[in-house]
Amino acid sequence: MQLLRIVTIGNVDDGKSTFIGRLLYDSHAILSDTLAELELASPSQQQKLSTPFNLALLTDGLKAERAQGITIDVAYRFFTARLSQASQLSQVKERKFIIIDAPGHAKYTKNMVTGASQAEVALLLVDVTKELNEQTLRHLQIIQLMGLRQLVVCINKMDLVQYSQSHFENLKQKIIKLLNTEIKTSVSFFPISAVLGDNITSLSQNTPWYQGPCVLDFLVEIEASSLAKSSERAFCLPVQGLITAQDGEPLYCGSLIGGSVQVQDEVLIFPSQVAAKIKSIETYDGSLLTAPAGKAVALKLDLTLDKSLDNKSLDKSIAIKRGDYIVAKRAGLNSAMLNLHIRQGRRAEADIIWLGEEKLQPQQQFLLRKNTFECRCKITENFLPANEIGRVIIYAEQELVYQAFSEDKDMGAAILIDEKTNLTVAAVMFRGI
Amino acid sequence: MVNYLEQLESEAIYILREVAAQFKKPVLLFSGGKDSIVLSRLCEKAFRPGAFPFPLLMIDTGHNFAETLDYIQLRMAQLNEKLIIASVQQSIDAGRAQEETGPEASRNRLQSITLMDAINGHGFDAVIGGARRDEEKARAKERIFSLRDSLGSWHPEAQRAELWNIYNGRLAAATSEHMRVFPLSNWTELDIWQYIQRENLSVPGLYFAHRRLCLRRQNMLLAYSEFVPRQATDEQVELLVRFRTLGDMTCTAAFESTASTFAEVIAEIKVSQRTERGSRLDDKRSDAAMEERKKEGYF
Repeated sequence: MQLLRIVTIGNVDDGKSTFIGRLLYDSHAILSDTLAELELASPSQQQKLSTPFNLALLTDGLKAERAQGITIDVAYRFFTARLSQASQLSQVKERKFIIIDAPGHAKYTKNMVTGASQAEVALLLVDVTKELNEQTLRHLQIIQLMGLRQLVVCINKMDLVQYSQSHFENLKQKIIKLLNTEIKTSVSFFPISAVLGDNITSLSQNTPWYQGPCVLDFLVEIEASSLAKSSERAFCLPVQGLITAQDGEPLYCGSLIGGSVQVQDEVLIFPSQVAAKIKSIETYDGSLLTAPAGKAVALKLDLTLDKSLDNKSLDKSIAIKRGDYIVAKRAGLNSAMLNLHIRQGRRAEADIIWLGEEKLQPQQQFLLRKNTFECRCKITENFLPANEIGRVIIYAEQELVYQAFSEDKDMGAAILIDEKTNLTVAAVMFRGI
Repeated sequence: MVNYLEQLESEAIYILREVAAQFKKPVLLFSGGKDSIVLSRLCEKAFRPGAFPFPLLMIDTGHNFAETLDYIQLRMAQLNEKLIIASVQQSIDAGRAQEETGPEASRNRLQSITLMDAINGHGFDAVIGGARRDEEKARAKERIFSLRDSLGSWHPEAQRAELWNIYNGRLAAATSEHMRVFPLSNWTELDIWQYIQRENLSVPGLYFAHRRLCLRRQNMLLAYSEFVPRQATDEQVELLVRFRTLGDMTCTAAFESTASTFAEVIAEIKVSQRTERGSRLDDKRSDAAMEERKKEGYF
């Protein structure tokens, strides 16, 4: 069964939490004891609505959120759904979802960015009765920059404009104009009412002019291929740590990104660029001949391959440690697939989303963490205020090993940590320049 | 690409290895319940053939199910790792905690005191637990690396950004801040059982249908025990029951079930109209019971 992770975005009060509540309620993903609990927690004027409780309470789980009626931090909800028209096509399609309810309030943008970093699809809620505002634009910029390739736009509160098609089209065109056309994003639009349930888990009688599927069917059917990062590439293993095999040899632990590994694969270690070969792939369940992308493994290496190393220098340069990268150099593949895209250097250009409360200061020093690697760095002069996006040059104390974020999220993402507060203050997306 | 359970497994192993690399003195909470059983297998996958880079810690309320204690002994013999037991009774004897009184007395809340004393006493800087986001609405809000201040408090309004799978485990020097780490955050109850089945892990027999003397109290079935204070309206019944979640005897309710294999348990959960923690009396004390306890250091 395929998994889809969706983050809801949009301005505060445009109905994100209500939408999720409606989606879960109408797809029968709320169990009866939770319903009873929610009815008790809902205000008494609830009866005018078509659900017995306040839908937003389902994800607004913190006391402060319930008291203020807004979402402060990300909530994760899990559910499984199938197509509403089960007779369609071949077999019944079913899908597992993690739906990430992100706060709309500008003050909590760092939490929205946290949610977006975990998702493949962004679901934007916009209020049809209001003008588009800065916060909606900011969220759109963030999700495009963070590489979410699929955007589902729910134009909400259609009941308040008598389900008018012209209102819908008008807002749709405005949103299309806000998107950055340099970043490829597929966009779909849905006329909905989260409070009343129109076009969410079934098509509504109120919008006869709307020809597309309901939101849930669309989400069940999104092709995994449109979300996949790209086709199979050469693998890379960011080294997490070392354990000792029973024979006393070191095992390099980590999770594979990019592609699969096979015994006998030739590899290069970054940043030392020492050549080696995969001797064996070890897991708790036994040795493997091959392991797929995503799997947590431990690799045994043959380091006698690099003839340029005499025995003396060998000891030093092969001290492979946490933060290094073991990268495939697979025979038979076009060399452009190999290490061409891996960049190495102390200076790198990147887009950042600044999450600190204070403005970014010139020459400010940070800890940069990327995969399992960490070193100090400085950022070029730039006075980014909180929650703003900027393009910067990073000067690192050690060699950075990275790819462009647009080519590979796993190899192109990093964070900045403020050493004084230990807070994570920026999302970093390396550029391929 | 790996399948869904393998994806969850690899994510959890990655998190466990990050804990081993980023902290000086981590500890793994081990209650003998299904989530900590899964964690113990994931640690084997992350660190064997080596030893675990941290000990296990059990918070003993003194009101345990005998079956859970037997199970812990069995699993520890398989693992051959160090187990530290921190006892609520000792916290009470030392005057650190005060026993609750009254008809609903439970040591559930006192566990936070015992846990915090153990963390401070041993100087643990990371505490790995089996909490899942699908269990409860406050847990649905929590980060995988979740900071606790020197008093053990969670500050839900001030959580750090947590981006992609790059975990920030930094703690302020010269304070006793620590990190709670939840490698099973993205697992559901169903995932846990499917994984236990796939790995063929043994679990306490309490999770399967068995005949038990119970006290019926409102719509709850409590295990008949010297630790559970009787109420006048309690009705004594012997029924075929099982447990869906295991706390101590005072806060965990059973329910009628005939499910006696992994497959039957999984089938039952799939159609259940009740949530997993619906049988936890500790969550029922107020609407925000979990959030309030988490602010006191609860896991």
